[in-house]
Amino acid sequence: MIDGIEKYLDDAIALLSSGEDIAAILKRFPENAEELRPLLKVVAELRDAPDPEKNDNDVSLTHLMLKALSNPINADLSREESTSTCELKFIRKSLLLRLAASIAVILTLAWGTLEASSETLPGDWLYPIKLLTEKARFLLTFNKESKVELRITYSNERLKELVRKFKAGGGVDRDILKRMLDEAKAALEGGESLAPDTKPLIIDRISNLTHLQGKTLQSIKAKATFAEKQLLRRSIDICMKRCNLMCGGKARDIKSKTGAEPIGAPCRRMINNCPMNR
Amino acid sequence: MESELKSILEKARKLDGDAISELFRLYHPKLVKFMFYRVGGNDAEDLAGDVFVKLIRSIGQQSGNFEAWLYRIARNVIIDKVRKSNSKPETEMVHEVAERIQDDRDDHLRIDNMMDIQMKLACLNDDQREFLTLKFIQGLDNIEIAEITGRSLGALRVLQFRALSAMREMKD
Repeated sequence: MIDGIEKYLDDAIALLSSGEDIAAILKRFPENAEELRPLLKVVAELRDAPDPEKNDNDVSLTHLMLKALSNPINADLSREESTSTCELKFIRKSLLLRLAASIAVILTLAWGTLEASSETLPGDWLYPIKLLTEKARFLLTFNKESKVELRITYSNERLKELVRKFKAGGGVDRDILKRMLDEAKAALEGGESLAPDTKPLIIDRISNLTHLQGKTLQSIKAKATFAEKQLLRRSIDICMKRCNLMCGGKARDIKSKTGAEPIGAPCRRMINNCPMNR
Repeated sequence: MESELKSILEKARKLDGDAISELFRLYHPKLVKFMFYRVGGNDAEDLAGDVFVKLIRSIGQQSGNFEAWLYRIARNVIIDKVRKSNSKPETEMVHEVAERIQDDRDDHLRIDNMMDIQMKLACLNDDQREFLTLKFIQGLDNIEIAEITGRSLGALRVLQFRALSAMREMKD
C-alpha cells in the first residue's frame, strides 16, 4: 500500500465533491492515479445510489407524533398485554399444529406411502403428502441444530426436484426455486443463532450447499428459455452473494478451534475456482 | 439554508406543528434511504419512523449540529434493533433480495443497481458500511461523521480507504 494513500484519496474525494471530474482529479495525483481510479469510481457509484421504492403504506407524521407524545407508561402496559395475549395464542396454535402434524405422520406411515412420495414432483398426487411429511417432521423436531439440518436437507431436496423436473422437460419451476432459496435462507438464519461450537460447521455446510445450488443453476441456465434465464441469473446472483457473505465477511472473523485455516477457507477456494465467479 | 433550518429548529423545539412537518418533509426521505442501505428495505420505513419519534421526544434538548444529532439517534435505533433481533442486518439485507424474484413488474435496471449496491454494502463489516452510507449516500462530511461516531479524522480516513478498497474487490 502506498504511504499516505488515505490522505490522497480523501483529497481526491473532496475534489470530486466540489464538481471536478475523475480524469482531471487523477492528473493532480499522477503517481497514485492507478490506485485512486477504481476507488473514485466506487465513490461515484455510491453517490448515484437510487432512492428506495416508495411504500404504499407510508407512515404518516400524525401517527408518529401521536406515538411520540403518548404516555410511555401506558405504551409499556399495552405492549405487555399484547405480548402475553400473543404468547398464549402462539402456544395454543403451536400445540394444535404439533398435534395435527403427529396425526399426519401416523396416517402417512400407516398407509405406507412414505417411500413412494419421496421421488414425487409438483403435480403428482403424492407431492402434497411429501411436503406435509417434511413439515410434520420439522414441527416434531425440537433441537435447534437438528431443525437447521432439516432446512438444509429440504433445500437440497428442492434442488433435486428442480433438476428432475427440468430434465423431464418441465422447464424451470418457479415455486420450487423460490422454496429452495427460502429454505436455505431459513437455514442460514437458524445457523446464526447456534452455539459457537456448532455454528461454524453448520455455516460451512450451508455455504457448500449454496455453492452447489449456484453451480447447478448455472448449468441449467445454459439450456433454459430466455425468460427462465432472467430468473436463473437473479437466483445465481443470490447464491453468489450468500456465498460471499458466509465466506468473505464471516470467514475472516471465525477461526477454527485448532487454530488451523479459518472455517470457510475451502468455500473461499471454491469461490475462487468457480466458473460462475469469472 | 442554514438560517432557514435554524429558524425551523427554534419553532420545532416548542413542538410547533408546521416546523415539525417541515423537518419531516426534509429529513424523513433521507432517513428512509439511510436505513435502506444501512440495514435493508424491509425495516427502513419503520426504523426511520422510530428515529422521528425519538426526534420529536428529544428535540427540546437538541443543540449543536442538527444532522450529526439526528444520525446519532439513527445509529442508536439501529443498535437497539440489532440487539432485539437474532440475525444481523447484513444477513437480512442479503435475504430480502430473494423476495424480489417473483415480481415481474419491477423496473429491472434501477432495481438491479439498487440491489447491487445494497449487496456490496451488506458484505462489508458494520463500521465500513456505516461510514460509506453516511458519507456517500447521505452526503455528510468527515467532521460530521467524526461527531456522530466518535472517531478521529485520521481513523476515518483509514476506514474510508479500507471500505472503498473492500467494495472495489467485489466482483459485479
